Amino acid sequence: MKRRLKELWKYSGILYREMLYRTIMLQQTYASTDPEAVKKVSRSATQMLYIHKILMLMMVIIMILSTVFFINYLPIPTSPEIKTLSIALAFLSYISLNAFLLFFLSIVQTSILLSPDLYQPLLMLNFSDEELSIIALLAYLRIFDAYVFGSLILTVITFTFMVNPLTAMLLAISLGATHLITLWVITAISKSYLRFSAPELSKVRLLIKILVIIGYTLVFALLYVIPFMINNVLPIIIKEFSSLPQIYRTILLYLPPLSIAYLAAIVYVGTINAQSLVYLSLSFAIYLIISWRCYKGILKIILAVPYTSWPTPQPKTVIPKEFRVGKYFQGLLIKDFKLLIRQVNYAILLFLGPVLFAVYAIIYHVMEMPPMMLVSIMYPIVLVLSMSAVNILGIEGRAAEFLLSLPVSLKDIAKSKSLLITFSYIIFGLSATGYFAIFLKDQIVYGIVVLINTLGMFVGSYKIIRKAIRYTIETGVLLTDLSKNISFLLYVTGIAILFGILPLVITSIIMILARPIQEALLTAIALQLGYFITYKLSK
Amino acid sequence: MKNSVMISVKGLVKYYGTMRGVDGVSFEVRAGEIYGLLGPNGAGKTTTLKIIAGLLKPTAGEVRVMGISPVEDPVAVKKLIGYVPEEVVLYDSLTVMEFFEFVASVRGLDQSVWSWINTLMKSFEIMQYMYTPIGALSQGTKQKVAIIAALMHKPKILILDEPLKGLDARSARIFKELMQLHIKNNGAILFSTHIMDIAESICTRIGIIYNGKILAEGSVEDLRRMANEPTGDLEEVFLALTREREEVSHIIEELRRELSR
Repeated sequence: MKRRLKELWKYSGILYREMLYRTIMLQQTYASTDPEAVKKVSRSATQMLYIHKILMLMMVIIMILSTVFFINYLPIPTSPEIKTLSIALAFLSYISLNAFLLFFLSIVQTSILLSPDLYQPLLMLNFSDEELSIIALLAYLRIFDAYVFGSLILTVITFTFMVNPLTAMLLAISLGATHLITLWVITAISKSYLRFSAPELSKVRLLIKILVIIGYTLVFALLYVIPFMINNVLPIIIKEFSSLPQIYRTILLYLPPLSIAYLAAIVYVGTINAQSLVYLSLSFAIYLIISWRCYKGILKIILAVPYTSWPTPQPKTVIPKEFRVGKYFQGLLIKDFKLLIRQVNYAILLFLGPVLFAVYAIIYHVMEMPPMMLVSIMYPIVLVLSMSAVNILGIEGRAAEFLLSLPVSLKDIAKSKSLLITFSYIIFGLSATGYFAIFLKDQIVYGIVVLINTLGMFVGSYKIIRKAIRYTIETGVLLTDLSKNISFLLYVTGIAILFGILPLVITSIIMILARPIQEALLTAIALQLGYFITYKLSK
Repeated sequence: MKNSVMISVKGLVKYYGTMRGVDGVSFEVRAGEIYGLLGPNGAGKTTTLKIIAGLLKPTAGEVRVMGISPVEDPVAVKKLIGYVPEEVVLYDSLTVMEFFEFVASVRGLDQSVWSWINTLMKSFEIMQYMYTPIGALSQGTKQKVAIIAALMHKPKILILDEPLKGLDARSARIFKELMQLHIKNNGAILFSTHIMDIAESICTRIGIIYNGKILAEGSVEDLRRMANEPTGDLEEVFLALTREREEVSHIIEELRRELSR
């Protein structure tokens, strides 16, 4: 019996909702699986279904309006060439921001949608292979339907009325192609997720994995930094770009995705000439071919999902290695570290600080910014690391209940997780200090203060994690719902400021007042004593 | 000491919001016995076991495990027990070996435990999975891993929530023998199941739990007497005690009618 598409769309909705439920369950740690908690997750899944779509559409509207506003009200009167370049960069920023949001909207959900066990209930029913494939594809579409189609429609409508129809069409096509490429990247990463998260059995593989994670974090950081920076430092980018030799400028302009944005910009400004039109059209065509290949790649992965099990290691005859039993806390810490490093979305935390700092350091060098710009980035990095203490709880996943069945105190669980955050913080502190020692000796005090504040960071993370555990276990709040809990958010922010960035703030004041560096160092050390006392006094 | 009380539960109550999970449950488990909590799905078995294991806090009532309250000192209780949950969810990205190393570390065991783990792994035929990530194992093999983790420190008390679920016949047999050996060594086992045959063949005493309450308690013979079913099997006894016999007969009749259409 052949089912109609409408019917398959309905079944895909059930699959999609189950996937949302599992997404929340995946992040729900320490809350027991009692009936009330399950009901809450189920309710959250329904809410998430709508909130996600509405939120993302709002983001699209904000991005469109800011782009339209920017191109209509360029900050300074400029020459046609500079104007075209500015508009091209604004378009590029718009497209890359869209891709960035799509990536983070879909990555976790896509990973879950590709898990073969999600399809077990459907496999028991009398669906044909073809129907199952279509259901999987439709459920996949549901992840980003409102966002992708909404952004395309809004791009066409808004840019047609506010700019011109041709630019609007060009931007919509570029956006569509970029969405396809982004979705292929997401789907391919999700597919290889299981293999990637498998434990490494040799030191060489571990090293390769760490390098891959650093690379992944770098891409993450660049995706995060570049779109936001384009609008802010546009004049500097234009200046740098204009000072490049002609050949490099041409290559950059004709390389997608800048070429696509540039084509839309010259159409808008009217600085069109036959030669550049040919090259840009060629580049555009190549981009479209790439996106078409990506579309095919997506179909290949998704349509194979329902009846494919991803490869898992085969059991084999093994030669027992030494059974290594550590001390109580050492065992807990080693386990946490392994879980962290083997889950890509959490492993990022380990290198986020140094990588974000490195990205800004490169930009600082290239654009010859004042040193304070680089120092000021340390504040949000420390803040992000402090606040990520809540997320680190998620490494336990659903095995948290097993952990709680062992003779481990909640205090030690929090301590072990805080050490992971502190470890990440130390890596950041060492990288910053090393950088300052080589390139900016005058500012090295900031790096040293970050390192001195290791204890503060540990105590701050510990307090946040204890609070999160207390909330989830004692009041039954889901870990995912903590982000909506205002009092908890205020607490986290307060702790992050007091225990994370306060020493940096004091150092900045001392430096501005041109007081001796020793005062900053002594204050940071004195603060550590205070932090230690609050740790000892905590229940 | 033989017959000493290992687990004592008095007037245990647990509410989930407004829903009542457990409603005044009381029983004792003594050294040298396997106490089976027998009841249908949703009767309150898992909740009771989780409270005793220190995983949930009760709304009211008192629980003692070898004299220690899991509410006041959950870590001390967890040191004394081995717990196998109903739904086994372990760390998918750890290998079996890494997982055992972790459990041994937090239980404060030393290298010598390996020989015991090795014996258990051979008994349950999982040696070949030693370096396989847990996420790649079947549910039955995960169950075996969880059982070994619970037995690793040779605890005096085992709390087992449907432990035979997913085990193959060979492993189930070995595990049943292990349980008998455990009580011969003066250990105690609190065991939950909804399968009558298992309860009848394994348990020394059985508590029938239904809608969060213990309806009857005793050996299979005691329960037969209580249900006025001197020759009936445990299934008949259960249906009589829970007063579901008529309802079940009615449902079967209705099913028969529907199927004959």
